[in-house]
Amino acid sequence: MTAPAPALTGKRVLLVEDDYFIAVDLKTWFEEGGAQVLGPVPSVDEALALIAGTAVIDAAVLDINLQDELVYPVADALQARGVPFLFATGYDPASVPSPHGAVALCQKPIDPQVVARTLFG
Amino acid sequence: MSTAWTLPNGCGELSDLVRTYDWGGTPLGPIADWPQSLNFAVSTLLLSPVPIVLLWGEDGIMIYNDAYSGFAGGRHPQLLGSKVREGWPEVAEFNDHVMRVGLAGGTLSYRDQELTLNRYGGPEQVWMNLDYSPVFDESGRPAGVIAIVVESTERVLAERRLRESEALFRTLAQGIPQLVWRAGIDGACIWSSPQWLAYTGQSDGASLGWGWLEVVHPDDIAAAQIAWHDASVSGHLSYEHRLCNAAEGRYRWFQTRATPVRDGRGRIVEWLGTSTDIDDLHQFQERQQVMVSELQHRTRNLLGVVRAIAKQTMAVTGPGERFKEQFNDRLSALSRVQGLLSRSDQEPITLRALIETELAALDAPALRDRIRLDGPVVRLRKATVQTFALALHELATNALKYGALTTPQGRLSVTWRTCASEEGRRLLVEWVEEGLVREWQIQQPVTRGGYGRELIERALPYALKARTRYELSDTALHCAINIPLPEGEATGSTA
Repeated sequence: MTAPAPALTGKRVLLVEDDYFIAVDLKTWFEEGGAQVLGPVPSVDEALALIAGTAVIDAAVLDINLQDELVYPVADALQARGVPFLFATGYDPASVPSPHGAVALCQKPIDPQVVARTLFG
Repeated sequence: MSTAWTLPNGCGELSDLVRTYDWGGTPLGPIADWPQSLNFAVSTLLLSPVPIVLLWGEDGIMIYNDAYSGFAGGRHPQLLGSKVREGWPEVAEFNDHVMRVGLAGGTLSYRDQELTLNRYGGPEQVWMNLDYSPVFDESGRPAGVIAIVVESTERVLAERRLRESEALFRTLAQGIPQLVWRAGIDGACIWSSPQWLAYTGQSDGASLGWGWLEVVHPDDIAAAQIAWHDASVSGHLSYEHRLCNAAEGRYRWFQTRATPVRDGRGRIVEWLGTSTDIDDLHQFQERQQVMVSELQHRTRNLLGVVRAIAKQTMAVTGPGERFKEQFNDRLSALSRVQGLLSRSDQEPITLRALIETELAALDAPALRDRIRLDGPVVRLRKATVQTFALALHELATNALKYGALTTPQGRLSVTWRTCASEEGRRLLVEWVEEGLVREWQIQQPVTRGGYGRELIERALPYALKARTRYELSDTALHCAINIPLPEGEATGSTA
């Protein structure tokens, strides 16, 4: 058995994921755990707008490859604000550029419990 | 006339033959009566190791030495004492000219003169160095011609073989697609093939010495120098580098290999090398790497999608038969779209292909005349295809189970067009079902729509930035999808 996930209650978590199904899945899971989900949003522009318009963000989960763009500008913005975040990717970790200050790099399909432990454990 | 002269004794076969020959039956007369000039010429030639023949008098009576007898082959010894015209009938005209010139006091000289001789019973092509000079008698008039006859056939043929071999090498070196070159032991170029000059655009001579380094990519020069340094020790040269192509104005990858040419003591004296264009191979390998990486990305993403769909399906159906049926249907739709994606490099995915694939999967060919598809060729970006396909799958499944395809009078029309707007080009798709049966709506108010409606109203706006409308009335379903059509989603003629 894996250790129980740390409490997500009240945590404000930004989700950036271009695939609708995966985004909904993550959102549902975080909300069931008591978190407040910011987004999900599928693009860099929408993510940056959301970050700019949100006072408190506790953590973020970023899909690296968004349809036609890479999520790195979002990572930079979060790093500048000191928000911990992790990358979720389908690519082999070896082929992903340096982590832009990410807490971790998770391979898809990501395990929400691992995500929660990594971000808040 | 002369009395004291004797022919040299024991100097060889020809000395004996000349001494014992019956010269009385020839225009020369008995040997005892020969003039001193003739005696002198004969004794001189008999002692010479060089093939010499004396042609005496108007008829050119032949007297020759041992070396010449070897040259004469089967013609010897009959040749001795015969007239040159009769002795060598196959070159009679040539010798007539020699006699005319010689007896007029002139000299003749030929280098590698080609003649056809019958020395061994058949015609034979030979080459010779021939030197003719007159011999004067006591009165000071030319009385004969002395000929030094050195056969050069072997050397001429050897040179010809060498030239042919060189021509063959050049043909090969210049005909193969590789760039061929020769270099000194340190890598300084001695010769480069026309292919090198054509590829690099270097002038003849510019590649020589270290000139060839000028067309090597600056980042690869160090590697080239190391390879050359190692080659002098290992006796093997092989490395990869980029060479600038004059025609394309860019660098292409090459593999260079060379074999050392060694002298008799095994020391390397130069290198013979080829440089082979492996740029296409390099690009292919890089592309393959990208493809493998993309495939892994797609597979891992797909697993996430499958997990999400299972969860979302389960949330509606609960565990049981309905879950199994709906989940399997959705997996099949995902599987079909993966098939389209895997072929998309050869066969771009069009909107029509996507719609037809989903309608065909309904496995209801009888419905064909109740379905109308119409619109131009629109190629879809790969990133949009999966979500779009799942939405179309839900629409098609609903039409078959609860909508227009459940009744004889029902009609399904899917039409699309592209248009320019202030936000750029957009694709407008209209999915219209008519002739619905109201009872179904009443009996199945919740089911109609359901997951399909969610995908249209939420998934497409989320993933494709679509604007959608889903309107269900008593007798008709009108679904409109309006999505941006960036570059890459090209349109063609109506299909």
